Amino acid sequence: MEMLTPLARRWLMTALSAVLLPHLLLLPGWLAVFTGLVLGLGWGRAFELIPKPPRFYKFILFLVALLGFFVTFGFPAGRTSGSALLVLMAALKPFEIEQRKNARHLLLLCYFLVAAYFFSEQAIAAALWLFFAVFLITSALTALEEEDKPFFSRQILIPALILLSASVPVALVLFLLFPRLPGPLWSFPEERRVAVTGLPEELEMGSISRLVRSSKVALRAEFDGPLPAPEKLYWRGPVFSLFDGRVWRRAQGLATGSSSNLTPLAPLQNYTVTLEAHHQLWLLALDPPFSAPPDSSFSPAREVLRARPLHQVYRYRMALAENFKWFEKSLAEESLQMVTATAAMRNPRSFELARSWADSGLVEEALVDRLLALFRQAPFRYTLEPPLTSASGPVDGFLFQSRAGFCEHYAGAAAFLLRAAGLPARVVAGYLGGEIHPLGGYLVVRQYSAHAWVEVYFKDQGWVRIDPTAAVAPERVEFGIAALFPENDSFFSLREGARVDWLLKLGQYRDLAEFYWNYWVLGYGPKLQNVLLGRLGLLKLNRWISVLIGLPFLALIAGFVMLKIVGLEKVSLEVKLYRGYYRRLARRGFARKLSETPTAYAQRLGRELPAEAENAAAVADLYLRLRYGKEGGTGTQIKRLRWLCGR
Amino acid sequence: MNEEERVKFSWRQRFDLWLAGRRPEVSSASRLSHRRLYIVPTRAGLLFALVLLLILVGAANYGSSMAFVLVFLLLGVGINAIWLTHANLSGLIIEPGPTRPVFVGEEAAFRFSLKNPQLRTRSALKWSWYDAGTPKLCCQLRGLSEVNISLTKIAGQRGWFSPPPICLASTWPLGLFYVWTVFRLTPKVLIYPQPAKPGVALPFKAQEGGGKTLFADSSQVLGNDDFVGLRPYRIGDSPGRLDWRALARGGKLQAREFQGNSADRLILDWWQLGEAGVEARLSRLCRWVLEAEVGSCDYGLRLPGLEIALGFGAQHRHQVLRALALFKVSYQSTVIRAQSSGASR
Repeated sequence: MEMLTPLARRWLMTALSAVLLPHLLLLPGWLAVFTGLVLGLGWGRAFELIPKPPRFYKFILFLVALLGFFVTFGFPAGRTSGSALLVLMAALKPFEIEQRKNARHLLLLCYFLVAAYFFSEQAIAAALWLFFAVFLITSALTALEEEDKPFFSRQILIPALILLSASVPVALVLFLLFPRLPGPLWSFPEERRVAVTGLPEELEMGSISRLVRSSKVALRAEFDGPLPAPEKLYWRGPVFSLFDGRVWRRAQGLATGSSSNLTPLAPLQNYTVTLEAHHQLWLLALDPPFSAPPDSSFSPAREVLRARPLHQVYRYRMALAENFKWFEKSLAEESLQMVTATAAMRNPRSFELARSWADSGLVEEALVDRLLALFRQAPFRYTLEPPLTSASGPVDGFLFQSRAGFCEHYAGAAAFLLRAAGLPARVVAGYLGGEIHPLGGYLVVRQYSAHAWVEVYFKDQGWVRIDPTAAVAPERVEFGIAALFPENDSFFSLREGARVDWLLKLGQYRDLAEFYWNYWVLGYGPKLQNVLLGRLGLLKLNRWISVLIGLPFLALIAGFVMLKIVGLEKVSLEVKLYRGYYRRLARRGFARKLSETPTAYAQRLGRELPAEAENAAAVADLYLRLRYGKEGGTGTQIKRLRWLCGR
Repeated sequence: MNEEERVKFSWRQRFDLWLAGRRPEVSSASRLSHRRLYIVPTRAGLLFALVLLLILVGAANYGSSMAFVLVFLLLGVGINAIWLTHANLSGLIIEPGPTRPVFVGEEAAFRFSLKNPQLRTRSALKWSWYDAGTPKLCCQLRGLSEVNISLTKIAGQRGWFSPPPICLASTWPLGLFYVWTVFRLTPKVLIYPQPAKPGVALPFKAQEGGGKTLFADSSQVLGNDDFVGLRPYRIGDSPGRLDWRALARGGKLQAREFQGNSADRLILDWWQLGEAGVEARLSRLCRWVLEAEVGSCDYGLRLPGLEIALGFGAQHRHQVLRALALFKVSYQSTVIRAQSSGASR
């Protein structure tokens, strides 16, 4: 049994802390704090402030951790809870281990924890963390082998540096050429995730305006043709067809395909979307989506849905048309379904209002005009922070009390009123607009562009997009959200900062870097690999065969390089030292000629460079003695030669 | 070796015997090259491979490019660790050192020096007897330096003691791979017989009475001697004869000279021993040699087929003890012992 030295324990804690830090940010609050405290215990042991804990304390600590975990997550079944459990156990471990063997196993687990983080997050900064964490773990493994060394000892840091830097080429080649399989091998049951900025799964009053406080990127788009007009940039996301008087919900159900009859009236234009991971099923596309990417399909409400939630950045091609006709062969039930009894009961005054419009003979376009007129005439305000109301339903509260709200209030109320008046309508959430990146030329859509609008079905026109927000705040549609709240710097602090020129530039470069990162690193999959292999002319080779041949070949090259580095070559030491000596002089302009013997060279040096004369003679003499003398060189002689050559 | 004997060896033993044939004997300075170094993954190395596999599967499943980057990077680290671990032992020079004879029951020390002829430092080198399990002792060897290592083994039998195989190993830098070499040192240690318990007096022969044997108490022997004077120290003088007090006072090292008529002709004779059995007799003779040295009297030895004339001093003592140690030790028995020690692991 080999025991842990204090040095090894400190290195273990350094590596472990570096690995766990980003994980802590993903954990729920109290668990993060608990894990942090437990790590502190480990540090306490590393600095010998805390003695070896009795078994009883260890047991209690373990029990508390496990109980807390099960209360928060239940049985660990998925990725989030699984890695949370690993993180918790890894943080607990160093407090109680005594043996090197266990520390080594813990460090190997750390390698896996780095990977576990990348199963969910993949920002550029995380890539830097990857190298840093791997470097620290590798150093800690070396520290386990060493007996007693200062913390930052060359003996510990250099091997890790050699190993890591020699691995980068191998990693690069394998990354590009290793066969990638499309699609997941299995899937965990999906868990509810906490705190992800993105479009909501259910539309409540306030769920969009929350998003507006975030400047995180939602998606980027590159257009093959010219950029559509700003008022056409409606990015269509989830469609909400069910309303219970409070909350709008999506019509759950499999993506069975749309019965729509959508015909473009203008030539189709292609564009590419790079969508950030939002952990939801839907993909965003310009309204209306004409085609679905290969692994997705249309829902009855013509959402583009994937089979599995999107946990990674995803790139796909889409098509748009300036004009189109969008009829429904048979309207889906959810769209036909008018107002449920509960919804009407919760919002009685609004329901009555809509019924009175219907009773007065208003239909279709006239009904919509009446509705927009209501929003324009009455003192409706567009605000992010509507006052609280006492009404039982949000629609009543909005229409008759506060008369202030954000796009989801307008869209939700409009859809309810239209339905109550007998017109098929639904709420659509997504983004409106986007900013052109001045350097990259692509469109960046951020979370603060989140928006909600209404789709209405007219018998003779089909589905038509109605944006009630435009009635109240037309500049929202034309100039984007920033135009609406120019003074409110509390929540556009990022854009306020952007007034400083260099900060703006910096932000632009950052976004550009992120764009290429998404494209080349995160988006590198079977598709892009095929493109690359095609360019290299390797596509015809069976990829598996090429890898089978390639791997040993790579190993051979790596081995050869390592032989060169660590010096297993047969050149004796004195030759190496002498070689270093005349190469150094060659840089000063006194190169040794091929024909020159060491003695002749030293004599010439003595003539041409008198300052070096004495040293050169000594070097030549000692070198010749070591190389050709009868007795082999002793260590002292070699050391002396090294000293002479280094002068 | 006939068939019956063959089946008695287990596979493990047979493997060890086969391996013993492959273990080079180190008689002079020899360099560790790839011919003599073996490398295998450790338990942690296998675990590392498992972790890599898990990450790879996870990366494929979640389509995580960064996890792919990580797994390929770690694969590179693992492959490079093989070379680095191997290079930690490769090129070292083993040079056997001198041996010193010991008595049965004492620890025989086998020495060798480990030289690093290159500039780079070798870290965490470990060594032990090959049959003692995983090596634990550890040292670092800076560039162009050497370390002298001594491994001990309890001497169990008189005669030549040839050392069992020695294992030199390292798992540096990551502990994922285990590189090792096994070698035997050629210099053997001479094992003197175990001295018998003291108590039987030295067999003095009176000078005058030729043939008449006088058995006397050893204290009496010293008592009869007369102190003659001091003379300068000569190599080989017994420690008991030195004038320590004068030395402590700051004087020169001097030996006391005695003149006694009883001490000069001490013949340790095989045929005049009371003990039965070869080993018991040799033990008794061995004890007498030691006592004679302490008592600083000249002594000789008479064994069947061998006679050593009277003498005194370290050289003489070694000559006598060597004769005792190698008495009727055949080459055959040495070979058998070496084999059995190889197979008993």
